[in-house]
Amino acid sequence: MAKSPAVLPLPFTLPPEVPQAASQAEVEIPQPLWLALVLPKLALEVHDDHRSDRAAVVVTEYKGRSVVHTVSHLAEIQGVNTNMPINAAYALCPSLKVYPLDEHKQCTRLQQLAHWAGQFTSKVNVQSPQALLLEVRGSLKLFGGLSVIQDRIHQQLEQYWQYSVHTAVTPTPMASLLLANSGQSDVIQNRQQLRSALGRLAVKHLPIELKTKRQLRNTGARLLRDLWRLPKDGLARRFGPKLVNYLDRTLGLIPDPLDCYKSPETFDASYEFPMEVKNTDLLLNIAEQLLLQFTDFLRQRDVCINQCQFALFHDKQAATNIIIGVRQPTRDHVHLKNLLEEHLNRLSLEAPVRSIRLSAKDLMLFSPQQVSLFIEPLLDQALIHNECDIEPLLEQLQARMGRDAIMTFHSIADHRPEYAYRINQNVKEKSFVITQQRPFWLLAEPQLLPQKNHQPWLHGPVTLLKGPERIQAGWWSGDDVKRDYYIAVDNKGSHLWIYQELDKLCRWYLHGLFA
Amino acid sequence: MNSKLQSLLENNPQIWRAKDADRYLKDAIPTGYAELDAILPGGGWPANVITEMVTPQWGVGELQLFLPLLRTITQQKRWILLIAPPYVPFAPALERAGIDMDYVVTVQAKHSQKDALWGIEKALQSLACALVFAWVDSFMHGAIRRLQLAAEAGRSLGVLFRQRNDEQSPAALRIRLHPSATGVHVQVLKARGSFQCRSVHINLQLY
Repeated sequence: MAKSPAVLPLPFTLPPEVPQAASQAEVEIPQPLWLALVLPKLALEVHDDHRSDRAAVVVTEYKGRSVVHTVSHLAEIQGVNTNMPINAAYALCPSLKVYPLDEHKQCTRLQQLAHWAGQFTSKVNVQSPQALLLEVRGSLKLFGGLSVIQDRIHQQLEQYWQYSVHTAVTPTPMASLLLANSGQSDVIQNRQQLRSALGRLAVKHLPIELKTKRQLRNTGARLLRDLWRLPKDGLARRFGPKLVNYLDRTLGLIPDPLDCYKSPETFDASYEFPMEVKNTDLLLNIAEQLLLQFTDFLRQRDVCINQCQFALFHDKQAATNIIIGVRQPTRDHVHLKNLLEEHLNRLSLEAPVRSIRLSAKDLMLFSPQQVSLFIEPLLDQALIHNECDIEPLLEQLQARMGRDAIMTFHSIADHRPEYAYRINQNVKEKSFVITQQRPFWLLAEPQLLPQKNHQPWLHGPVTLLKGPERIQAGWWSGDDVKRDYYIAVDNKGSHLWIYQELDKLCRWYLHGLFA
Repeated sequence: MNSKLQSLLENNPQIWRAKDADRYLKDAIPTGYAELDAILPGGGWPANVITEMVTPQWGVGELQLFLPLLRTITQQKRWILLIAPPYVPFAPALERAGIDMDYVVTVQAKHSQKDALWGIEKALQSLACALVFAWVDSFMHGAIRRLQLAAEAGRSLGVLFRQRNDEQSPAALRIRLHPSATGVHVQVLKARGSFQCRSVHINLQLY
């Protein structure tokens, strides 16, 4: 390679770095490292009322009979096995709790776990019905080693959620899965060691058809080691190319591309109460957990929301909806919780709640708020806790008083007073500034003043002090104004801004107060 | 001192001791009107407390009196909340007077008085909000004291505009406004840190 410049018809000599670069390219690309996470008892553990101190099984239909699919640890001790007819299981263990197999629930739970696994790596593959594959080579440095990642997985899954878990780590996904499925928790860093490590596994663990397994056993191959010794072409001829292909993928001899799990575009989670709930405290508790899940989801997708919706479902009645809106997109758990609390405090439940659901659409990209690096010493505490931001306060007020209770007013260039301001909208271009005096208070609707002796009257006679100032505008928009404005004072001493319509009726109106 | 007396003095919120006044007077904010500063103990609006403006009717210069304060606060980019105002704050006039309307937020309390009180308390507690104006007339027993504590906690100034003169009110400063043709007549009804209740006439350019 280094001598190539002489051969290639290049118009110039290559710089001396090139041979070095070529030698760098020869450095082996790091092999991927797949962590297989198998939840052997998932079918049982998806049932919310399952407890580990109870003998329980999940049953499924097989050829018209109910047979045991998954066995809890306690039932296993008493002799209950998988594929055993349910009657036999009952005979061994009369106190057995039996659940039906719920594949849909299992699938959803696995998706949730895949989402959860996204905290360790971006490459997560779902292996239905009860396993996940995580590519962890890229995450080793971030987490500080493989053992840290494994510890965290075990800790969170076993201690927090009480799942039973097997993990195994190898350079190929299939080998990891095979090891974890057979209950081995090996860590194999190098592809060359795979053959000997897998060799001791029994053939029965292979995810192949029962018929092929039986055929293999009949040829005398009990362990994988026996298969390694057989010639590949012969193996393919006798047992089909599928088996050879699988073994090659397991050993990493041919590539094995996998789909990565992608978290959904919207969030939707619900919780079903074991009994009917009328107490908002309990509701808040569960809703808080849903919110925690939600904010985790938002953080992992690096998005935020400005609206989410809680639905409380009742029996035989339309669901109660709580819409939580924020003025600035957020993903702050505490903030959302406070807003929810505000909503729940005001809510009077008409019927007991059966289940609660949190959903959100329209996720927005998250852009973190910028805080100055050199914060002024006086304000630092407040700034660190983000307390100088008015938004949380306004949202809190809005949650209780209603969406349209919070308003800002900005002026806009218009001679007609009622059109001279905008609500909740700052118009930056201002073409002119009114030089005449205007009152601080404006009546939203001008108030008609009664007249006595052709003079306006408000609890007494009104004395005109200054004016008139004619405002005549808006004829082009159909909302024309033709008025003479006066500054006046009533008999109590309030300074008023009143006008007289310039039409046939010549009525007087109160339009503002000089406060 | 007798220990019983001591505990009574320290724990009873109904008793206020004159020697505590310094603390409130120290951070007083100048009103922008020299005549008014002269009659207020501390020489300005007392900070972190509730001030009550007894105004029999609106439109006598009650906002004009606070104009220098409003200007300063919005220029410092701190927030002002108007809770349950009787009318629409007219933006062109306020902007012309030098107030940055970006920092003025109006909160309507259409549903109940209780909502308004709750809103005032939350706003006072918030560090982001420097000044709270509220137009609420009737207060439940103990409500003003609660607002007083909130103002201290949030280091903000609360101003209650009331049409009724409530002698029992525990607000730190109580002022009554009398309309006048050339401005407004300010009468101090009660001021923490001073036993003198004086009054002064302030010339205002109302229109």
